[in-house]
Amino acid sequence: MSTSRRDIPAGAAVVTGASVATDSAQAEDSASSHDHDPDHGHSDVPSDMALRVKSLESLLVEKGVVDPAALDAVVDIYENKVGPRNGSKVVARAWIDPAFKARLLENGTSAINEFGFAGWQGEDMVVVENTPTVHNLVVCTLCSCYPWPVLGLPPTWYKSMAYRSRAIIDPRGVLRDMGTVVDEDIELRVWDSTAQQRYLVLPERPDGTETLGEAELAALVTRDSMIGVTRLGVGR
Amino acid sequence: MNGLHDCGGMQGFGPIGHVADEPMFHSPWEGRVCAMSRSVGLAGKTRVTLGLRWGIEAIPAVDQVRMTYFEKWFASLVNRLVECGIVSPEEVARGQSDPDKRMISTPASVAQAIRANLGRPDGSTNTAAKPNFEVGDPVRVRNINPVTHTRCPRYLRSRTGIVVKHRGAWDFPDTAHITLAISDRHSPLPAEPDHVYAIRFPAREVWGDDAPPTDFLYADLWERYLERA
Repeated sequence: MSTSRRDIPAGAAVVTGASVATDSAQAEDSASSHDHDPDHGHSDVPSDMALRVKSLESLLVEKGVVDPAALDAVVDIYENKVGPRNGSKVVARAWIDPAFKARLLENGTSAINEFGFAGWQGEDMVVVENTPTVHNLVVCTLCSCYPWPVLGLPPTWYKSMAYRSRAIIDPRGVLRDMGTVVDEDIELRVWDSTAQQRYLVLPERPDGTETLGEAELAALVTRDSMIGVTRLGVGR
Repeated sequence: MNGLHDCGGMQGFGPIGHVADEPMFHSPWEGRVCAMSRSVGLAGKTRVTLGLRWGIEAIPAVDQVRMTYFEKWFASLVNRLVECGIVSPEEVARGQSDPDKRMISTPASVAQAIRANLGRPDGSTNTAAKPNFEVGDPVRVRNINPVTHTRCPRYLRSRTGIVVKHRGAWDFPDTAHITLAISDRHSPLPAEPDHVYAIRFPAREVWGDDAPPTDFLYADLWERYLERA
């Protein structure tokens, strides 16, 4: 793209491709916004997307469809209230409390709700346990389904076609790329999130953590280990 | 729809690009798109199931490849708002409401927005129909190619697996989106609950004998996608 969208008046940029966002103008817009904005909008000049999104918000506020304060609250939830630290607490509790672990594997949604964690994309939580003979890996081949209440929003790589396409046909290759070796004789289960069920992997508790308390254990649990692309205390 | 989004098993997308950590939103506008997408369906009179996934799937394949995740959400949001009659293309282009079409609704309050995102949601729904399959039953995924939204991935069609769990009944996604496309504006979608099962497929059944015998694929599939094997 030789023409920078910054040279075009803001009003024109908002009009271009805004009504039918799937036409070729839209593709041009997004392609050019990548060109001058490779880090997704850390420049001082508002990007084309920033202007178009702001314009839509103004319109929806005028129409009484959204309240800016409620939008602020939603952004705050996903930036600050949910995230992998929620899942880490669930995992650490399962490691030290066998009764909780049994409840968690039996009914993930209600056991996770014992922490107060619930919400959108957590309607039916299924927890799958890694053991010395079974390793679990989670993907959503059709879109980006992910257990938001316990892991937050999915990372970009999880939403990438590269991961979604390959995790089901070459899962051991994906794991190797992540520095995770799963021995040949270990059963590998790949869970494709095709319906309302959302999956959380319960990783194996690393060796040498027998003396640690619940909070210290939670600090060891990574997002990637709860997706199943890594194992704790092994590899990366 | 056999669209590009249904990419399970495709090859040639390059490296996964894993990074250890990244912000939830890479730019403030991504957060606004996420928040608007989560909020428009909660507004009083405009209460509609927007079908934002279908909106993303309907983006032409060549554009899908080039667009970032939240660019696709935004495109889908705009298109679905227009298709549902909540805004007009002219209003979107201007960024201003027609004077006689202002305040068509009551937006969700802060408390409603928090409840919709962090409250305990409804679980499975009810259906009078009895489940046709039991744990242990062999089932084959029907060879279907719907032109609508569907949650039956291509790579599993005609493949045989075993029922490992009944997940309860959940609204059937395919017809919900057909209905939206042809329904009167703003009318709620009729729910069509159908039983969902977790199915276990040997990787060799799906990918052939080169796949490791120790690998298994699991998917949650609606009964209407399945037939007795």
